[in-house]
Amino acid sequence: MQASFLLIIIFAIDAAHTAAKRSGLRRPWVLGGLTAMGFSLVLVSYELYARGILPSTFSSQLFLLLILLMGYELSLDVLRAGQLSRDLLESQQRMRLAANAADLSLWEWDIVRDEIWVTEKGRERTGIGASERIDFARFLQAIHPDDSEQTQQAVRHSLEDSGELESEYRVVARNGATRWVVARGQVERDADGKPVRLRGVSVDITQRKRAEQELAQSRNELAHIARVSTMGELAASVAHELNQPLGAILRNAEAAELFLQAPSPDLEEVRAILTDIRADEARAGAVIDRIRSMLKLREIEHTPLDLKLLAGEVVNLVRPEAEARKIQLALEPGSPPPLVRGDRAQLQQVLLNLLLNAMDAVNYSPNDRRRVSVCVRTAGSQVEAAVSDTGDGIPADKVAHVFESFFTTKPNGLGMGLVISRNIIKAHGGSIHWQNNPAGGATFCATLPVAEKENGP
Amino acid sequence: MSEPTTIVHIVDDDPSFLVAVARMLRASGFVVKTFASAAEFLAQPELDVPGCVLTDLQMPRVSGLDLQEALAKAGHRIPVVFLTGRGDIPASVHAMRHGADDFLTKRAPKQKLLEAVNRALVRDARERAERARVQRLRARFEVLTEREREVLQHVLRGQLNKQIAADLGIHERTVKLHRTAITTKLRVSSVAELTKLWLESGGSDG
Repeated sequence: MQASFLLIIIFAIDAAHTAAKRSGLRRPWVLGGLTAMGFSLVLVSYELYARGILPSTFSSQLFLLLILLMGYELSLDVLRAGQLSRDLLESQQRMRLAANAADLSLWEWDIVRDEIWVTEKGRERTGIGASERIDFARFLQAIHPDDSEQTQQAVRHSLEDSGELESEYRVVARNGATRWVVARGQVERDADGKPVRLRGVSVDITQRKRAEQELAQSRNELAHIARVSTMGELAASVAHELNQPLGAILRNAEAAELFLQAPSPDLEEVRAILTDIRADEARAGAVIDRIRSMLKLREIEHTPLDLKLLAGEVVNLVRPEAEARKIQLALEPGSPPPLVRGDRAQLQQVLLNLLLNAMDAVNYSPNDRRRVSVCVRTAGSQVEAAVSDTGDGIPADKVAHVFESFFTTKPNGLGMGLVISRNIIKAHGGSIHWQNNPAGGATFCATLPVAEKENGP
Repeated sequence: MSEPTTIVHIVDDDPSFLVAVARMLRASGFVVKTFASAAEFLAQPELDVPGCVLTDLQMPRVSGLDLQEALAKAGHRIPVVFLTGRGDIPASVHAMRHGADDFLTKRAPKQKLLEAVNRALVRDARERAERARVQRLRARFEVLTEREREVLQHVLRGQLNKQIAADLGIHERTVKLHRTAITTKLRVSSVAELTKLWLESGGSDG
């Protein structure tokens, strides 16, 4: 009897100890301790009773006391559980509210069972039915086909490697609209490091994506406008304005010839024609004078400039177009060059021109030979900006004409870009030179003198 | 009634080019009329005269293309030759695929311009003659009575007298009489000839 009681006491203490270790709570100790204490008291009272010291064993009273104590402890527990479930509910509601307010959807992928739980918002966003079971394959179906491969890669990478997921993709919502979404998540692993769960949130980023696209487009347009407005429009209006008086002169001259062939020429008419020819010649001359004054560089605004920063800006400007045309565009690294003095807008125009020319030069090159690189470096007392391409270079028979007006190798070129660029650089006290690269393609290099210090040399 | 004169109508908003090209064409033997705008040209009381239009493509308000469209809308099929001061001819030509008779730059050689004008005038004369011929053929059909025209439609469909009689609810002999009247009035001797005449007159309905 005593032995079995002892065993029960030891068992109760061990159980309480184990339970406490597992949950870190006070309760197992209280319950286990009380049980152990109760049995000890029973054991002691029996012993005392057996030896005739106590009139009875008090065992029933002791057990009653014990049960009362245990009941109190357990009722505390029930109360606490109620509080906990209320807290949990509230925190869930708060979370849902916050998620909705932030336009977030929460999700969790049970990798072992291949089952995805996602909030209603996420189901709505991906066009998946409210009660439909979602596994990874079903999730992939909801993704825009063009983004599927890259999303799978991101998930694979997070599971095998980083443990962190970040992926942007398009989904088609229930109402048929395509939305951009970014998903961020974290992998949970078991004791062996095997991924068991991927948990995270998704946010609608359509607005941001749209803004990005608009920005890229406006950059493209800017680059396009910069060129077309200065070159194409000019050329077309020049042609129109000059052809009008030149056409009149030609027709008048032809008419005069015909009049003079007559047996008795009407000299009065011929005289009138000659007067008109003079007037039209003056008109054509005025057009040319106006164009010349338009092309004449306005007063250069001299400000100290970092040519490398400037080149970086222009590179960024044309990058979207380069990417769209699958051209690799690089600004060579290196230490910042000394400042030059010049007109920011004009030098930008020169760099833009050289870059666009280089990009046109590689337009018909195979994909692995579509590279344009910009290098800004110091060369003695000069700073040079070199733009190299991997195109076909300048053919030998064209070498002499590169800087001539209206010389072009492009089907739709006007042959004015390099002329204007050279004028700008010349006006800055610099020069433009070029060479065909030994490995193919050409390099155009604009060189400008280093700015003198404000307080003299 | 004498043949109406063939006129080259020149439309250009540039007065000095207008005068110059008119001089040259006049010296080359053409009868010309000049207009400073498309509106001025369209405001003429009589537009259906033999000739052609030589117009600037780019004009303020009403362009050469607008002018061509206005003429087509009003049912005037006078040939239109365009002149342009711009250099971007390929683009303009493309834009004008829908029926420009010719297209030249303002500085085209005299020979080219004269050829274009002559081509337009020849085309106009040919088309006028063709229209007049069709008109005459149509007039021949006009002498037929209502009933004869009805019978004619059936004959053209290749129906036999018996069928025609049944269709129209008349006697077969009456049909024969109508047929004789038709061939006599139209001065044809066979159904084949009748069909040919009908088609040449551009006929499709009764």
